Amino acid sequence: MTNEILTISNFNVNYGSKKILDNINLSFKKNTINCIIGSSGCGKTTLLKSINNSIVFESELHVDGNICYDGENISDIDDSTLRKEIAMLMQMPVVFPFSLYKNLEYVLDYYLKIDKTRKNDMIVDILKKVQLYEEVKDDLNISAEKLSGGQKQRLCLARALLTEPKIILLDEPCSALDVYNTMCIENLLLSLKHESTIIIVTHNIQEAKRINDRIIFMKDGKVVEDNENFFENMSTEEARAFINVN
Amino acid sequence: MKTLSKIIKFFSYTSFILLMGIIIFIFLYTVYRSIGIINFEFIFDSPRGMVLGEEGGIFPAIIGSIWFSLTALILAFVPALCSAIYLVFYLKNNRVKTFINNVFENVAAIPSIIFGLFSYAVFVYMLGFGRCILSAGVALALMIFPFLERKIEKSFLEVDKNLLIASYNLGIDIRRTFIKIVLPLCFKEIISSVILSLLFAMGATAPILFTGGVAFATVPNSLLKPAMALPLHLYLMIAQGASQINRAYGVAAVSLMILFIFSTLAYCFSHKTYKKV
Ligand SMILES: Nc1ncnc2c1ncn2[C@@H]1O[C@H](COP(=O)(O)OP(=O)(O)OP(=O)(O)O)[C@@H](O)[C@H]1O
Ligand SMILES: [Mg+2]
Repeated sequence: MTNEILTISNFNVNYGSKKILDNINLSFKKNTINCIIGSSGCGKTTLLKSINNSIVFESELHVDGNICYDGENISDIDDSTLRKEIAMLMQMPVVFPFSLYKNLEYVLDYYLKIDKTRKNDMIVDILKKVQLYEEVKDDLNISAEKLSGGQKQRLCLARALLTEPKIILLDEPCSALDVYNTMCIENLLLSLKHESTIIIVTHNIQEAKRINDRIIFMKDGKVVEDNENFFENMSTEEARAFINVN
Repeated sequence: MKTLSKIIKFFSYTSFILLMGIIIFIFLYTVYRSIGIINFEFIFDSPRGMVLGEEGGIFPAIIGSIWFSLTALILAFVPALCSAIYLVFYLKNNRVKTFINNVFENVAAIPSIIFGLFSYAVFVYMLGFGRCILSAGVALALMIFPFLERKIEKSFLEVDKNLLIASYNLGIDIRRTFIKIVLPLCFKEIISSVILSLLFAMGATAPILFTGGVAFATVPNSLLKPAMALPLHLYLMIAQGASQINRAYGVAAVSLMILFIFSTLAYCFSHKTYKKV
């Protein structure tokens, strides 16, 4: 029981009469990689947004049900605290309109009071971690908006990791990356697992196969299959059909 | 279809040319009529003459106008900025938001003399400030407030919502997000709205008519004294049948010059600050 860091119970999200998430019940164990798969539009992104409570920014959606983080209902936790502990990498990487360095400094300045050299070290470290350092080391002051899609994705990942989150939500983090960088990120996730819980949405079945401790297969807003040995032992017809076409 | 787009094109071009033509004409004509009027004495002397303003200059009116509009701006800016921030970043209830927006829109449509009347009743009389720059400043501030608030709010709403969400997703609060991300992006817009509302206040006559604008006063040195103002001076001169209509054009030309100077300053200022961000 103590091993569970996040519990979602009887969770629904509606848009008018349309059910976007339909009675979700899930719990997540510490130090695991949980892969969410499912066809486009089945509610994966919505589920992630619910977990860090950024669903409140979509005021047209109606939410009900409980999500407990570390035994506490997330609606009782201050949003800033919650989102520091539960980092989220959005599906579309969004960089701030300043330099790459400042994008990272923005987070550090908010959370830590540290001197310039220590800050530099941390920024270089995190950039190395997400495999971005080699590409940008000549000019950390390059405008973040000038980076490529894949570079932005890694910058956003770096930025999210700076808060040292307990749970990391990733919405298709490798969708714009080449094979090499995807491998690097996967390895990073495998190593991050020792400190955090990872919940990742992916369209890449091979990737899910490589890193998962558990697969959550969704369809039309419902969790159809929740399985730790998904690829060896699929229990539903829908999941089999989905894997076959992907 | 092709003829329709041609007709639309024709009309938009002609109306653009017509409009530009009229503006340029007014500007040039004013300058032309004021040639020989504007000199050192006209700008730096006090008005004299049988009909006031026929001789001497308009210095007290220039300074008075600047006082009136700056007072109004200072009174209106902080509330306008705060309401815009509140409405965009803090207020969650959409119904209340719509309601407040409607109120502001309606306030913007109130004839400006009503603000004058209000300030006359409350500030000049009830609170006993008398006719002074402050009383008039309140009337002008009420007039420019909705204008300024709308413009600032609009600039905030233009910021990409995803940037805000990305920042909130990092656990960073609204305050820091606003200061570091929204403000630099909106700075230019805000400055230009400030200048526009300053000029809006400077051009208004009705609100100051019975709250603080007078036919003659020396250069103001306190907020609690009445003062002259350029548009009012112009109006009084014409209304009293001044023989030298060219002097009225001189006043208008000076007003235009002040307008030009302020917008240039604002442009340079916002440009310089923007580069630093
Ligand atoms: N703010 C919103 N208003 C209305 N409908 C929404 C909103 N957000 C999401 N939806 C709807 O909810 C459904 C699920 O969307 P969601 O973004 O969660 O899908 P997804 O599984 O992440 O898809 P993808 O794999 O394409 O990213 C979609 O049908 C979408 O149209
Ligand atoms: Mg999605």
